[in-house]
Amino acid sequence: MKLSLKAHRQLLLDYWFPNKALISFLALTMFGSIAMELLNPQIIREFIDKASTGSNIIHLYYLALLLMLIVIAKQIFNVFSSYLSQKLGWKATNHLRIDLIKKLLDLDMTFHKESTSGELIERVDGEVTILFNFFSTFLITFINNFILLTGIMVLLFREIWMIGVGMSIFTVITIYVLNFMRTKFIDVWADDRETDAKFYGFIGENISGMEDIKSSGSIHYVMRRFQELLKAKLPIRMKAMQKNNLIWLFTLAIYTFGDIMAFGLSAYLYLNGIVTIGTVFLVISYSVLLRSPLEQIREQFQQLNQADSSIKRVIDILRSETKVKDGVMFIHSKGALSIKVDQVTFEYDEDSPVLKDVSFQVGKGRSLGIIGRTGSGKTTLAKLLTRLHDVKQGAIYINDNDLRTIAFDELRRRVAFVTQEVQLFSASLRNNLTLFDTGVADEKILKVIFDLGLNDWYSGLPNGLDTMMSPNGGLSAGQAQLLVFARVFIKDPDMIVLDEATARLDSITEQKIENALDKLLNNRTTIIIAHHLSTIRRVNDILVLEEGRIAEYGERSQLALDQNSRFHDLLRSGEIEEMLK
Amino acid sequence: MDNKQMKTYQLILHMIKYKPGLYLTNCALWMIIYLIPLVLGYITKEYLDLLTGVSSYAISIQIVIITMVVLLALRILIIRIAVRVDTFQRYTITSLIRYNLFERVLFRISHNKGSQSTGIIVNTFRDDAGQIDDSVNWTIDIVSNVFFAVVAVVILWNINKDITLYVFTPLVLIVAVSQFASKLIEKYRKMARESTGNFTGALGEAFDNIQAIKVNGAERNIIDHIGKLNSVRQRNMVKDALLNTYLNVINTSTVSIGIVVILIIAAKSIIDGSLSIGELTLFLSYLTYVTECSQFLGTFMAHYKQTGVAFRRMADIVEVSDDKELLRYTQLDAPVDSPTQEQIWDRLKILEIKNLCYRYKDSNKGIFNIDFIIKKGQVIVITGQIGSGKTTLLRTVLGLIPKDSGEIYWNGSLISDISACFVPPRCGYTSQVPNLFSDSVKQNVLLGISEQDADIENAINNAILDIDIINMDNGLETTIGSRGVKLSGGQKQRVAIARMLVRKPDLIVIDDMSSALDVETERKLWNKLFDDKESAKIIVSNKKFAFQRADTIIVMDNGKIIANDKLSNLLNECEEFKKMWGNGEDQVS
Repeated sequence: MKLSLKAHRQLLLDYWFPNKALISFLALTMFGSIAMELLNPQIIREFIDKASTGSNIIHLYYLALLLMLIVIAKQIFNVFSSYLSQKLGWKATNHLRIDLIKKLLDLDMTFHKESTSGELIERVDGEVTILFNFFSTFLITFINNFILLTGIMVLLFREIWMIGVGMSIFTVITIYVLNFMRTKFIDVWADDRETDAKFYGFIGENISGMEDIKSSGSIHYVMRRFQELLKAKLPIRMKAMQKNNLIWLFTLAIYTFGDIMAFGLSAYLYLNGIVTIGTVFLVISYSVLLRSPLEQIREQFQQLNQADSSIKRVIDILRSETKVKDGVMFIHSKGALSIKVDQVTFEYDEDSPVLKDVSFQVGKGRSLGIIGRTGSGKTTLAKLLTRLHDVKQGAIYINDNDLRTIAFDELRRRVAFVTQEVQLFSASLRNNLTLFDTGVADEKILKVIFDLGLNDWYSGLPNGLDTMMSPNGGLSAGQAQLLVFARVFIKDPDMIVLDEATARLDSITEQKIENALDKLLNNRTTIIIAHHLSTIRRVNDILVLEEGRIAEYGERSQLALDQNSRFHDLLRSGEIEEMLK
Repeated sequence: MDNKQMKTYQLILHMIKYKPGLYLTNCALWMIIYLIPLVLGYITKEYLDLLTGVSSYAISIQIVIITMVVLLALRILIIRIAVRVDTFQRYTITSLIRYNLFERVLFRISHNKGSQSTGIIVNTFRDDAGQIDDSVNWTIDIVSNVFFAVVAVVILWNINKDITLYVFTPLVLIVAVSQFASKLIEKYRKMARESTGNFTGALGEAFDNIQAIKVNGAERNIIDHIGKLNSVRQRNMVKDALLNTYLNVINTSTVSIGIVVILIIAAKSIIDGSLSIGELTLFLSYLTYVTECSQFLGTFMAHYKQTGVAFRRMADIVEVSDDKELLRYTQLDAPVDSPTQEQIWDRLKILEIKNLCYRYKDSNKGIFNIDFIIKKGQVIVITGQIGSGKTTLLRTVLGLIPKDSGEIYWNGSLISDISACFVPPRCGYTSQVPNLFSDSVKQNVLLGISEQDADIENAINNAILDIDIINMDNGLETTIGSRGVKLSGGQKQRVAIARMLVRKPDLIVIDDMSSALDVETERKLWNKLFDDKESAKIIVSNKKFAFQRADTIIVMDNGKIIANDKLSNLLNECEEFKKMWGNGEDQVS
C-alpha cells in the first residue's frame, strides 16, 4: 500500500492548519530551542581553547556563566513548546474525532451491522491517538530539524570546508537510507492494529453478552477463544517489532560511520596543525548533535509509518459515504402525513429479497396494522418507512414527496419509530428522554411521565430528572419500554411507526398506557406492526405479510367479516372476542 | 477489602516473578546495551588524550576506529536478540493481566449489573493493562540506568573526586523533587483517565444505540454531548502532560548547573595540567548521560504513580476484593476445562427455594421471602406487573445476582455455590433480550459444546427455528453479524432458545419471550416446551396460554409472592391475578 501524500496534506490542512496562532508560537519556541542548541558547543570550544592556552581564569568563569544562561533559555523554550504542542495536538485530534463520530453516526445501518462498538471506539479513539504526534509537532519538527541540520552544516563549513563536505555527504546518505527504510517498512503496524481491533471487538461483544455466556455454561468456550486471539497476537507483534527495530539498527550503523569520519578527519587536521583541540571538540560535538535532528526525522518517519495505517483507515471513514443520503425537502403542510409505498423491493444481501413488490397507502390520520410471521419482513418494512435503509426498487412517498428527497431533520421530527429494541444511555433520565436535546422544558417531560402513569416510579427516583440511568440495570424491560414511549410523546410527531412496541408490557401496564396511546395516535398517521392482534384493534386497515409479499390488504372491518380472509382465520383462531369488542 | 490491596511496587515485583528467567535475560541484555554508550564516551576521551599526547595507553587512531566498528557489530547483535526477548516478555505480561481481567469479568457476580459500560471495560483492557506492562518493563531500564550511572560515577571518581562530588549531588535533589510532586501527578492522572473513560464510554454507547439515535434524529445532540465530555478530557490531559513537562524541566535544568560547576572547577585544573581535555569531555558527556538517566528516573516515578491509579481503577471496574486475583500466575495456553465434562450429576427431582431475598443497593426494591418448590416435569409460571420483581427473582435463583439471604436445595441438599450450580446441564436460561455473538448460527447455538455430543437439529426444531434456517443463505453456517444484528428479533430469541435446549438442562428458566415472537410461533414454541416432561420449567409470562398449562402460577407484587396456586383457584381468589387474566390477550384454541 502506498498512501499518497495528498491524504496527509489534506488531513493537515483540515485539522492542523486552522490553528495558525498555536502553530506560529510553537514554531517560534522550537526554533529558539534549536538556536540555543547550536550555540552550546561554540561556547565550550572557546572555553577549551582558552583553558588549554592558559588564558585568564575570569574569562573562563564568564564563559561558564554564559553557557548556563543558554541552557536555561533552552529549557524555557522547551516548556513552552511542550505545552503548545500538547494543546495543538489535542485540538486537532479532537476536531478529527468529532468529525469521525459525526461521520460514523451518519453511516447507514448496514455499516453498523458489520461493526462492533469496540471496533468503532478503536477507530475513533485508538487510531486518532496514534495520529496525535502527526497533528501536534510533525511538520514543525520536520522543518525545524532541517533548519538545525543546515545550521550545523553552515557552522562546520565555516570552520573547515573539508569537514563540512564530509558531514554533508554523511547527512545526505543518512536521509536517503532513512527514507528508503520508511518506504520499505510502510506497513509494519497495519496487521498489528488489525488484530488489536478484532481483539477488542471480541472483548466488547462478550462483555455485553456476559449473562448469556454464563447461563449457557460457555465461559470456558469463550476463554478458549480468548486464548486463541491472544495467541494470534504474538507472532504479528513480533514481526512488526523486529521490522521496526531494523530502522534503529540502520541508524546506529550510520552514526558509527559518521563518528569514525569525524574522528579521522579531525585527527588529520589537528595533527597537521590546521585546527585547535577546541575545534576538534566542536566537530565531535556537532557530529553528535547532528544525530538529534536525524534521530528526530527518523522518529517522525517511524511514527508516520505507524500513523500511515491509521491515517488510511481514518480517511477511509471520512471518505465513506452513507448509502442513505440526506434530502433537502421540507414538508410544508402541517398535521398528519399520508404515506404511499409503491412497488417496493428490498434485500440486505444480493439475491435474497426480504420484501417483494410491496405497495400500499395510508391516508392522512389513518392507521394501518401490519401482521405476519417473524421473518416475513415487517421490521424491515418499518425500517424502510423510517429510512434506516433505502428501498432498492420502487419508492416510498410522504405527502407525495419521495422519502429520499426529504431532509432528515424534517423526517425525524415528523415521523417517530418505536423499535423492538430498547436502547438506553448511561445518562440522566432527562437526557434519556430528550436524547440530549437541551431545548426541552422540564414541565413537558414531567407531563409525559405523568401521562404514561410513571409518576409512582418517578417519585421514587433519588434525583428526579437528574437521576442517572444505566442501560442494563435498575429498570425492568417494561419500564424501559415505557421510557422509549415517553421519547415519542415528547417529540410529538405527525406519523408514528410502532414495531412490537407494546410487546414487553404486561397487560396491566399495557392497559395503563392505552389512553395515552389513544391520545398519541389521535390525528396522526399510524403504522403498527404487531404479533399480537390485540395491539392493532384500533387500526383502520390491515396488511398481512408473508415471506416479503403482501398476502392480504384491506379495511380491517371488511377483512374481519370476509370468511375467506387470512385475517378472519387469525381472528377465529383465538382472538376474535378481543378484536371486536 | 483494604488489607488485600497491593502497593504498586508489590504488584510490579509480583509480575517480575511471573517469569523470572525471562525477565532476568531481558534485563541482562539491556544492561549491556545501555553500557555501550559509556564505552563509546571513554573511547572519545582516549582519542582526545591521544591527540593531545597524554594518553596512558599505547594505542593508535586505527585501533580506536577498529574498536568502534567491533562495538557496533556487538551492539547490533545484542539489540536483535533483546528486541525479541523484550517483545515476548511484554506480551507475556499484558496477556497475563488481560487474561485474568477477562476471566474475572466473566466469572464475577456483580451487584451493579451494567454500571460500567462496555466501552469503559474495553478501555481498561487496552490502556490500564498496557500501563502496568510499561511499569514492569521500565524497571529494566531503571536497573540498567542505575548500573550505567554507578559505572560512570566510578570512572569519574577515579579521574577527579571533587567534580564527581559536586556534580552528582544535584541528582539526589531531582529524585526528591519528583517524589514531592507525585501526589499531584496521581490526582491529575486520575482525572485524565476518568474523563477518558467517560468519553469512550459515551462513544461506545452511541454506537451501541445507533438505531435509537437515528430514528430520533438525535445525532447532533449526541455529538454535542460527546463533544463536551471530550473537552473535559482534553483539559485534563493537557494538565497531566504539562505537569510531566515541568518535572522534566526541573531535571534537565540541573544539567546546566552541573555543566557550569564542572567548567568552573575544571578551569583551574586544566590550566595547571591536572585535568586533560579528554577527561573534561568525559565529564561533560557522562553528565548528559547520567542526567538523562535521572530524568528517566523522574519519569518512571511519575509513571509508577500512574500505574497505581490505573491498577486501582482496573480493580474497581472488575470489582476484585483481592488484588492478587488480577495478577494470578496462569498458564496462558493451559487447556480450559470443557463445560460438557460433567457427565454424571444428580438429576433434578425437586428444587426448593426457601426464604430467598435480594434488595437492590440504595433502593427498597428487590425480592423478599421467596419460597416455592418445583419438581421434575412441572411448569411454574411467574406473573405480575412491570417492576413486580419477576426478572429479579429469576436472576437471584440463577445466581446472576448474589442473594442477600435464603437457601436453595437441589434434591434436598443445600447449594453452596449457586452461580456455579445453575448452569448447563443442570439448568438453562433465556433472558428477555438475549445476546448473540458475531459467528455462525451453529456456533451461537453450540457456544462451546462439541458438535458430536449435541443434537443440534433437534434443538433447532424445538426452538421452531428450522424453517428460518432453511431460508438462510448458508443454513446453520450463516454468520449473523455482530451481536446477531442480521437476524430479526424473533430469530434472535429462538436462536437463544435453541442454545438453551441443545444443552438438555434439567431445569429450564425462561424470562418473558413473547416480545419478539408472533402468536403462531410463540404457541408452537410453548407446545414443544411443555410437551417435554423431562425437565422442570420456571417461566415468566403473562399469557393465558401459559397459565393454562402451568402446574402452579406464582403471582408477584412489589417483590413478594402474593399467590402461588393453581389457575382455577387463582381465578376465584386472587384479585390481582383476575385483573391480569381479564386483560390477557391470547387464548388456547
